Amino acid sequence: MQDPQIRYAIDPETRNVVDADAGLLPKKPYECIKCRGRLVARQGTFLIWHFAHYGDDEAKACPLYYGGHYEDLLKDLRTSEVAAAETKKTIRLVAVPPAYGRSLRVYGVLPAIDISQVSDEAEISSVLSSMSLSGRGMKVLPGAILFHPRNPEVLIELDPESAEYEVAVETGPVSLSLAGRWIGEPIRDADIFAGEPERAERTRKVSGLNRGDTVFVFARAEPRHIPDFATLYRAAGWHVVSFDLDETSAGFLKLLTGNDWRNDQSFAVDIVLPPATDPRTRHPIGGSPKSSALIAVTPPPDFDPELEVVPLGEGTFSSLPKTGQGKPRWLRSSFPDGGSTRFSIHWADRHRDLHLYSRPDADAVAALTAPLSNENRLGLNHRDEIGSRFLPASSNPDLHIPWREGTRDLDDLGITIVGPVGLRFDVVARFGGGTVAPVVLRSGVQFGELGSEFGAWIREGLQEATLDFGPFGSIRLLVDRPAPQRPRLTDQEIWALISGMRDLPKRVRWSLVRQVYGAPIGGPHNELPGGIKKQIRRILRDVRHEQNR
Amino acid sequence: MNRTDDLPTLSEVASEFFRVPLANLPTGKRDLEQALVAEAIRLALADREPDDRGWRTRHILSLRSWVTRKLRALIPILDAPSDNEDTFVEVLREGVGGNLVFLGDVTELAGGYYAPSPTRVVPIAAGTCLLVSGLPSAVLAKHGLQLNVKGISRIAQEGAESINSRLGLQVQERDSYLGTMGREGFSEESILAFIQRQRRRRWTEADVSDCYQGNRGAYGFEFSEHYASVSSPVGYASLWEAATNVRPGEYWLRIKNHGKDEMIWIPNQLKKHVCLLLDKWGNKPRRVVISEADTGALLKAQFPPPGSQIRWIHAVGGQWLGSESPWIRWNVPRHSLDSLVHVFGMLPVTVETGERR
Repeated sequence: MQDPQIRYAIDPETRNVVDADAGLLPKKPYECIKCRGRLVARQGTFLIWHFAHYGDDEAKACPLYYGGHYEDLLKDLRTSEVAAAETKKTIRLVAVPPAYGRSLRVYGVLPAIDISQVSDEAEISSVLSSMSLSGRGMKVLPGAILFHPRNPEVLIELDPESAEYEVAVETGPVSLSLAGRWIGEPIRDADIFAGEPERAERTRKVSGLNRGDTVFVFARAEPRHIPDFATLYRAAGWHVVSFDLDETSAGFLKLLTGNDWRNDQSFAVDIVLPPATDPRTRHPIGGSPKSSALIAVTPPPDFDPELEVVPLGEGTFSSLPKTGQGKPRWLRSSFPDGGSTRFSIHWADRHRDLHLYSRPDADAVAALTAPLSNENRLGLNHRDEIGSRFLPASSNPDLHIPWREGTRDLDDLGITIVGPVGLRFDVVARFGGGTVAPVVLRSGVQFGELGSEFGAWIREGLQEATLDFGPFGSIRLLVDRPAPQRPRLTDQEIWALISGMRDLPKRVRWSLVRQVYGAPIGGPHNELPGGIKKQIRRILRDVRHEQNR
Repeated sequence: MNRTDDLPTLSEVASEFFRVPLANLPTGKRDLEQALVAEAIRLALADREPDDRGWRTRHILSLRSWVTRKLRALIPILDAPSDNEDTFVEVLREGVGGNLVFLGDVTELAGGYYAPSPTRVVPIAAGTCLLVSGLPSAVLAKHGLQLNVKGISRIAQEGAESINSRLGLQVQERDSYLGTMGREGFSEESILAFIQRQRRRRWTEADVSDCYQGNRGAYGFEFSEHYASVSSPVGYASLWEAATNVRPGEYWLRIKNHGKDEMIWIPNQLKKHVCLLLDKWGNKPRRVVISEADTGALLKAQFPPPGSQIRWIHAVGGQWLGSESPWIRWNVPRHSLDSLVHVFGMLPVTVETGERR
């Protein structure tokens, strides 16, 4: 005989936990908060509204089928996965993809020392110095210092192939919740890690995934087909497929794991303050001690539920006042003076854990960016025989580039762009001859696209090209073409010029050559015909010989 | 520890975002919202690991998601963009005049990516300069810069040279920031030089559609099928829209001189300048009036200004007041008057100053 008085159930439409007394619809199906089996609302022998399992064999496996302790059950509901894991001393596993490359790492997460369990810094030092650690499945055994309460958590790199994970923590005479044997289940085929692109945590509850979550699925065999929306990583012998979850990718998730996913109505948590924190983050959030945190909690559009804020560990839950269907609720918190503040936002069977930790050493915003003097630059780099120099677009520089036969592209001229990949700019090119129009305009070109066309422009008589970077300024490239070559003088002409000089020069220098050819001193030699220095030397010798006779 | 009772205000969140006194933030709700969205975009770009070249780039979808989640509880319209109103895209790249890409704080890259622009300062007047940077304001405030947030743009209350010597930030000259096609500027002389240098071809009516009608008293540049030319140093000149099936969005300048009937290609970027020059040659130059007013200063233009001038109006914190034929009007900060006179003086128009409204 099943217990007739299950008082609480989940309304599958609202995901609210409902009380059997609260005006039920008898024919509506409800969900068991323990086994997720189907419940129906009844008014039995005692005329008291309650829920009962639908009665199939599967339901008989539910502990509530034969009666339950509802307060314990509600406590269970208010316990997040993180809190449950820490109570059971379970190592949480997170997957961290690389910034570049395809080699993904797996870490085990353990809490740091709870600052409320130590009296002062001296005791922390004492605990850390007496702490001993051992275990299995770790790539490197962590140092005790990582468990200092100033750290939000301890990440231990794990061997993805290990058959078991274990970290034994001994903390000496001081009794800490951290002490004991922490166990983690090995990675199995079709394990799902969910969270953000930079970090995702292993989860067993597909129902807890939200649209937009980044999912990492571990597979022993390489999937035959990787859709465009997915990325493939490796973690030791595992193939790890990553993608953002939505209605399109849900089919791929089912193919990889066999799990159905649908986007249940869930609430959203947005971190508004601190300003620099990713509003979607599930990482621990660092902030200056006692500074403000402001969190917006928004239920789905047609819902106005009572959400709860449940502290992790000691303390009682509080409610977020209702503000209307789909309207944000506001939660103000502050960063602790030291250590961490952890709580979860809770609605029905959903939790969103938040972890605020004190980071006194840095301003959260300023820490994000490099010093001003180290900022990126935008412009051109020019390399020639003297060396390499940077030309910032914002100072509108001119760059003279020598004309060379056979120039194919800008690279041949030693010119490279300095800027981000995909930088676009306009080009205004002016020509002085050839078949190209006097002015050519190109809008929104990338450096790579311009390179070979530039070579063709030079052949077609390019005089100058301005690379216009809009509000960043512009860089003008001026093509220095050699002046037309002077015609070669005959021996007789040179003889007449040299013999008419008042004092014959002792040696033939370039200044004499230029004097003979009437070319200004200091100009390029290639404007003069080849071999003329030897020619003048020979004629000078003959003139000197003739005058000496 | 946790409080759930009092609701935050836009100004409260804005002062945390910008780390500047409330008096240095915009007062209007719409301007403050735009300023917050702009700052959230800078913060989202900063919240990114640099790539192998050191640039923090983010795709527009990721950027939108970050910004929307950051501010949607305060600015709900962010979460429901439509074809008519999409605040995020307006602030990032499409807002007329005032948007982060056009003003130079953010660089638009190929493939839908964006990056924060290198920081530089552009002189406006003594002790005041424009800050052009993709960095969040709090980073700059931490270095001692006194910022005045003018919606999307930010003004530093310190001279450009002083900032350069104190922080090493690069000074960008105003003309460089405004951008002038091919470096020659848009004066009468430079446009005339452009026209004289361009290759001419025989006039072909089939390649054009409508003709510019000249300054007829309204603020627009009106085109119609009627031929309207002015006497110019190069002959009788008229501006024509290119036929849409030939070179859409481009223009042809028709020149009739000594029996020759020829045409010169005019790129879209020069359309307004050539129209203004034709008005001047036709002895009906367009006017700009810049005068002091109770709320700062008033800028009135008898024409929609070209890109460089629009960029400067918005960069110094100008606010569009609407149109009142034949004028288009902006409220501009008083300290920017001289710079605006200079910037509009680059055009072939009449700039009048001084009278109080």
